[in-house]
Amino acid sequence: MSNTSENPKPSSSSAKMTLKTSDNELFEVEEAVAMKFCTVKQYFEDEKDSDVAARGSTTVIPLPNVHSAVLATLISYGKKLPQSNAVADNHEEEETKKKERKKYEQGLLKNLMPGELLDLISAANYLDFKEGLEFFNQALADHIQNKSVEYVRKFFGIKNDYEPHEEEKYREEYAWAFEGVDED
Amino acid sequence: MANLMGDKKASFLRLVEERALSKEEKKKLQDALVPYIPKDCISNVLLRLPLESLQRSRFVCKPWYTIINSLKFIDDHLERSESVLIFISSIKEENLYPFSTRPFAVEKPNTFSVEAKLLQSESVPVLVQPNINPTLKYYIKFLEINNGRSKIGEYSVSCTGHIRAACNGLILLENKLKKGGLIVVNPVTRKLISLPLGTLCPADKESYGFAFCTVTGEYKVVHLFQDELRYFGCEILNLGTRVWRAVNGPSFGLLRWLGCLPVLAIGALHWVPNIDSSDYLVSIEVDKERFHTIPLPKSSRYHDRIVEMRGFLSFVTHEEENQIGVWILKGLGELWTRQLSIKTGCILDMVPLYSLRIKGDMIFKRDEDGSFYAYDFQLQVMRKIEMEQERLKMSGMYHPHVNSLISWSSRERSQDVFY
Repeated sequence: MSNTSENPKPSSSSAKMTLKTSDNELFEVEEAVAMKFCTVKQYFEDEKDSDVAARGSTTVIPLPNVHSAVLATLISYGKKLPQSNAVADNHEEEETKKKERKKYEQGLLKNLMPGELLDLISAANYLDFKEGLEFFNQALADHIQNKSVEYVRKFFGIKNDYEPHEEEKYREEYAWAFEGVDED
Repeated sequence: MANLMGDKKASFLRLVEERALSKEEKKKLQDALVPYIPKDCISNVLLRLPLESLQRSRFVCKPWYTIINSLKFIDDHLERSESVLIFISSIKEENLYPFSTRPFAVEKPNTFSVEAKLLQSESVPVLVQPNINPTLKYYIKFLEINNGRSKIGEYSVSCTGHIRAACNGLILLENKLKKGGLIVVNPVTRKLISLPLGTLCPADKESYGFAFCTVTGEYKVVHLFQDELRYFGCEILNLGTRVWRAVNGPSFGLLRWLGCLPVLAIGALHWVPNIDSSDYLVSIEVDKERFHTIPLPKSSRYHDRIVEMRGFLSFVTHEEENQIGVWILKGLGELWTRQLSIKTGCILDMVPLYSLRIKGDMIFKRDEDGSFYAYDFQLQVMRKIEMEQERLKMSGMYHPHVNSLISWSSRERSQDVFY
């Protein structure tokens, strides 16, 4: 089952690439979007160098560390970003696009389970998808900002390596920082 | 009803199963579910947290503590932090009951007292500590301007003296318990250090500048003071050392007014020498510690000012036809270039105060009513700022400031890292 990109606007480069996820799903993605994943870009450029004839044919790029659900979200986010090869819009068009993107981003975050954020960040990091990382890192920061230390540990799967007496000392010293924390 | 019983049985069974899993297996299961996030990502996320949250995050685990305390993180965090205005507000004024004849001054609980901490660190026995009259105390607060609105932030820190200078998140405070005493504090981390006594001088005849010397990586405090013969002396203290060094002050007669705070930009501290009609600036290079005069492109009038803008020195001046001109100096020894004119929303008594280092807006304050305005260079719009409180109760002056985790010495910093 492959996921075809349904962008009706003709772009300057309608070359498509196929990405294969860890659970063996194939995603057909426009080159412009796939190039935002720098790891993919690197792979593609390496392939280009090694076999000139292979250009144009559908190279399947394996992404063994990325699950299909995660890749789908990242691709979807990537499509919404301003394309680097797009014609410059006037101020009004830019503003409408910005508003659209904001709405999309809010919708995306609302439907996301907090745990999925970590998967998205881990994948975006593996793919070297800078804009995605910026966005999801910010979303994660917004999520944990009012949470307690215990919640954060559980969320990240981190073990508390402080000795009880050390922790007590710090809590006292920084007591004022622990006010206003959400219930877990 | 049957369903409910069935559910209860199922959950009970699950509970028994879970408990049966050994702790090891449980942990492995948990770990398998949480993806590995590399340290750079963690840093990136932590950089975006508001300060209180960041302080708490130190205690998640020791590696996070080390990340947050690392020099690189602290510097990156400083780079991303927006400018605010720091000021003091009298405790006495805060607690004024509307119909009381005498102000009832009580310090809020959980307030960190700078002086108390200082006395503690100097090992003064508790019984000997002076009971500082709360009516003489101030709270340290800051004003954030964002998107046409202002917000007041509190540090829950009190002090007895005025703020004399600010740099990179550190502030220079008067210590009224010791004549001529000065303290350097970071109101966010609450780390402080008392400075050795310098030359004593009445407050209206002296000015302090606070700067980071990029060449040596040290913070310096510059003290300009005027004697009875109206000569200006100058002494400089490298933060962390115990000795003020005398340096040659500006030539006699150059500097006539100390009403303005010095501005730090392009590697120097700059003073506007006259209250009106200044044709030059009196500046001292932070690294070479030498005074120069820098000619201004035109005479600086009563409501004009110099402001640090994105690292450069800008001269913001009122011009004909209700315009404000902005000139830029990119480096010492270079020439002023005229950057732009602000043509809308200018009022003659708007005094340029500071610029937002991240967003870029220029913030003005009107002499007449103390109202704030922000000029957005991108949208080319001057906007009046909605104040959270109608009249801001404050004492002394506003200092451009940034909330950071900066500490003044690398030795101080290295004490807080787990290896």
